[in-house]
Amino acid sequence: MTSTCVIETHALSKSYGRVEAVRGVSLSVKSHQITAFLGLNGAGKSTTIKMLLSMIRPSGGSGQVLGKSIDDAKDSVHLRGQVAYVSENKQLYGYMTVEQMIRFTRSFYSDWRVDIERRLLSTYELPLTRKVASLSKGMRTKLALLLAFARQPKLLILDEPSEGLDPLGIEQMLESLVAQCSEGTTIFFSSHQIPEAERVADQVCILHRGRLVLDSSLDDIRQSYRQLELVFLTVPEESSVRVAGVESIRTVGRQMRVVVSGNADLLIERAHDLHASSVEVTPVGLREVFMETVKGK
Amino acid sequence: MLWHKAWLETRSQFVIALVGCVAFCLMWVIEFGKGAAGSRGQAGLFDLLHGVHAGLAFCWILAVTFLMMGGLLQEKAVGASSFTLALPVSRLHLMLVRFGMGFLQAIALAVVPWIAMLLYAAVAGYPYPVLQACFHILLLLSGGLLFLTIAFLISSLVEGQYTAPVVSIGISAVLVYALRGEKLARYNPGRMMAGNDGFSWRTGLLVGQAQFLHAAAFAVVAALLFAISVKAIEHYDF
Repeated sequence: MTSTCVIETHALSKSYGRVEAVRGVSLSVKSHQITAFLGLNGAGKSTTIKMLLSMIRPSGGSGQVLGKSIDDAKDSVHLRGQVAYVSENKQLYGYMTVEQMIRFTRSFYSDWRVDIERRLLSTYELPLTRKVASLSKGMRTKLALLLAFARQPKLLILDEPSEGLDPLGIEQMLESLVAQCSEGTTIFFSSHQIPEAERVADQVCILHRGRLVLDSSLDDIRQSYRQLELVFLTVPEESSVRVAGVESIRTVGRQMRVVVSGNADLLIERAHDLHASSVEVTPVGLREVFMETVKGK
Repeated sequence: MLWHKAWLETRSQFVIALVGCVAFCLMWVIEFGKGAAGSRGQAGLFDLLHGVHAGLAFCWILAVTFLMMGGLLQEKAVGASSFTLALPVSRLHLMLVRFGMGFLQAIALAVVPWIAMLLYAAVAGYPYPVLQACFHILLLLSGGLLFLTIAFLISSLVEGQYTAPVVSIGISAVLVYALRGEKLARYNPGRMMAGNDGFSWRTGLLVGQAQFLHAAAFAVVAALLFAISVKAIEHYDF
């Protein structure tokens, strides 16, 4: 593991019978960054996360989190002392009150931050005496986030953290993520909400059908991805514009829409050679990159 | 705090089971105590207490089966296992605490009904020897340990809020039924729990020798079942 990577996996895979949920994922998550782990429903995000936390045993490959092997049970216990995790469903113990839940969780961590706990209790307006079972999904999510944020962990792993939150809750959550990261916590969160990732992420990983199909910094994506609108009098074969870096081509009438992850200049040159009557280049947002990446694979 | 969690998780079922066991015992001794004491005096009442103990053993098996049905698989069914497994605690530790809490509750389910029966006997004017009550409780727990670990094992293997207790009770019933014959009866944990061996109907007291060897054998089997439960959960994908 390199010194700047907090999560590193090599050819990590998980099969359930004949179904391959995760296929040879090699992931590197750098420290002190916010990494968005994107993918459609059922892409294998939660399975990957659970393998990182030793909740699921990998069928193949290996992985390290904070320098500890995810296969080693003893390492895993030590590791979980430094990693905070918010699960996909945010289910907690329904028979405990909010206060009991906080007291219970706090007892496991010496790095618990009472100031953060108090601040978030006030921000999220959580009722201390209410049973967890009687909380709404949004309130339960807020409680799960509080339990993770108040620990000031080295690594924070969140699985669909905004699910169940209202717009204000999402805003508060994103602000908390940025604040945590600025205090030195590495954040790795899965989502299929692209705008959230676009707002806070430094690095973006896209998982599709169990495979890692993109692993790049958001800045690199913004710089290298372009959409080209090419208009021809006579539309050429798609193969004639398929240069290295072309992610997708869509032809409608005389117009060809091409998304590239690089080599935009080369494609512009090629379009002129093919007598394009109009060439328009526009930047591409993460949403388009995501859609093209998962549609094209 | 894991002990506190285990207590909060099971306290409702435990209180219901405890009230049920005490009520069962008191109901029988109050209903038939006067008649038994009236016809045969002290021995009659002591016989009755021994008979009620056998009924208590049956209730106890049902109660501990339901009490042991919690754990990680149950939490998985409601979605809370991810939170538990993210805590810096090994699966073995989680299971030890849960089993420990279940065992303590199982002891209480044997002891408290007997305290109630002892009090009744004292009030009725025929104080029952405390040592005899302790001996009954010890027999119940020695044989019962096997049923306790069967329930623990099933809760570690079978998912489902209703399936697991049904399977566990089914296995316990089959075990008792299969070991009912004369030759096999001595290996029947249910028989040991009821204290049928070495009981004198004439005095209403246990007079036989303590079955340490059988108790030890049940403890060894229980330890084996516990180890299998731990291995099963350690290898389970949550």
